[in-house]
Amino acid sequence: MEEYLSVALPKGRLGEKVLALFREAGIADIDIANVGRKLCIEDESAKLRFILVKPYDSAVFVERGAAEIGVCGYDVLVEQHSDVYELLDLGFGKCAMCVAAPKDFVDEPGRPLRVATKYASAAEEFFTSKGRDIDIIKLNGSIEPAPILGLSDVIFDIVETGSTLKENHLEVVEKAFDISARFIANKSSFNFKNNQIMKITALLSDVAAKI
Amino acid sequence: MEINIDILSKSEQLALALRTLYAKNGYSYYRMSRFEELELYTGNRDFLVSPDILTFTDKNGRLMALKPDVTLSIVKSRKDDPDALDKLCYSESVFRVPKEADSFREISQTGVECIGNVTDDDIADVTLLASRSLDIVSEDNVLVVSDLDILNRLITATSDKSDVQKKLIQLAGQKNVDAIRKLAQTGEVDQKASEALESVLLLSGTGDEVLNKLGVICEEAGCGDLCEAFSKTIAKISAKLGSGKSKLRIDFSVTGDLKYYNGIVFCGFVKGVHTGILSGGRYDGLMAKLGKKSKAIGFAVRTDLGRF
Repeated sequence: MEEYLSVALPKGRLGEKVLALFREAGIADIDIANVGRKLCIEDESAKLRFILVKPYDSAVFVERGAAEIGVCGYDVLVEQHSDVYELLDLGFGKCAMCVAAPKDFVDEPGRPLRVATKYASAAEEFFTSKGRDIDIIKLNGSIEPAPILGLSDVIFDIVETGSTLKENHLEVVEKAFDISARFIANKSSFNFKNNQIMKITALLSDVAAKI
Repeated sequence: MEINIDILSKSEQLALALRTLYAKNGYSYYRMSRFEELELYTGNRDFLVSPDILTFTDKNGRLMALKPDVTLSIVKSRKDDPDALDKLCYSESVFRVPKEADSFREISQTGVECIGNVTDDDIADVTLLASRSLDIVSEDNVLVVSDLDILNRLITATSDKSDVQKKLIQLAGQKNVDAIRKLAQTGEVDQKASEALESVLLLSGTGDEVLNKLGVICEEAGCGDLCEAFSKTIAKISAKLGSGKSKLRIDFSVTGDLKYYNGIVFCGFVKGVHTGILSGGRYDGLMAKLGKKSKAIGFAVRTDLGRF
């Protein structure tokens, strides 16, 4: 008998999109309207167990084997250096990691650039690759007020439409990398549940190609 | 002296069982110090699993390191005799930041190194021993094998820039075919060669499932000779494994730094453990970098994962 496969999904809009994608691909039939506040949903016929976790944690669940497969944003993989297989770019949840600053910002190369971000590791790597000395200010909530209040010179954050930046009189200075939702797998589980994982990958790939 | 094995921890019992296996296969036990001069690692950081090293200054003012790796110390200390065969095993702690962790850990490893006149038969024997080691840990295991000579040829055909090649090795380790495809679309790499690389990365399975397809891809990509040599090695290992050959899988996401590793490389998994517990392969590149003429192959089993 086929064993259950655990799928780590980010709670919220991205998770809902993934469940819809699984439904469209004929992999699982979970009605989003019935999910409510449940954190674990099973599709018995598909032998899939969906675990709904914070977006930032889904890669950890997969890397540590608590879930065999999952979906997370590329930003999370870059920040956490997750040691997982990145099997598919699902082509949605598109945005970009950007450096943004007040409209009148002029960089002073003579001193470290103060960077406010939730993504300290990704920011460090990006600016190091450019040879720019920085002072990271790690924040956990809204980043946009940091340069306005003089806490930082720039921010290093996700930009989707740019409207939040505009409302806070900030503008994109440079794009670091593009982000989208990625279908990932645990490297050990990939070998033990290879047929199940490859079947799901193929079905998702067909649907994702149409997005 | 009578020893009650029950008083040993699972990790110690495993290390003992592995050492017994290696002794039966002609490997002599090699004991080494936990410290090494930092200089040994500074020139070979890419060989290490993690570049972070715990250092201290000893009372003579020498900058020392708590060993992050065993292989470098063994290679450094052994006489370079390319006509002889040196078969050593060890059970040691190394100190490093594992891939999935943020801080230093003491990691217990038991492994083997086979140095000198390493023949194709020795390569098959060491790979077989790796599979037997996994059998001791758990019946439910898989040894995933790859060939870096093939991967290297495909990657150098895809790009001649070293930074792009490094990126491609990283993407291969993630099975990230979509990202390679995107690189090809930017024109940064050779499109035809990158397609061959993508096709090879999509292969995953037993020798029977993979080798014919691999042969076709490699023939078209101009590395049919390498595929033939790899197939012969796999056939040798499969013959020795007999009924256990289904535990051997081929997957080119098992990679390594191409400056140090070459030919066959492998990673071992057991069901229920989230990460590889065995890793190894040929490292003639490291030998050459350290000025040695000998060839070498080895592997290490992590005995500290605690779920065996």
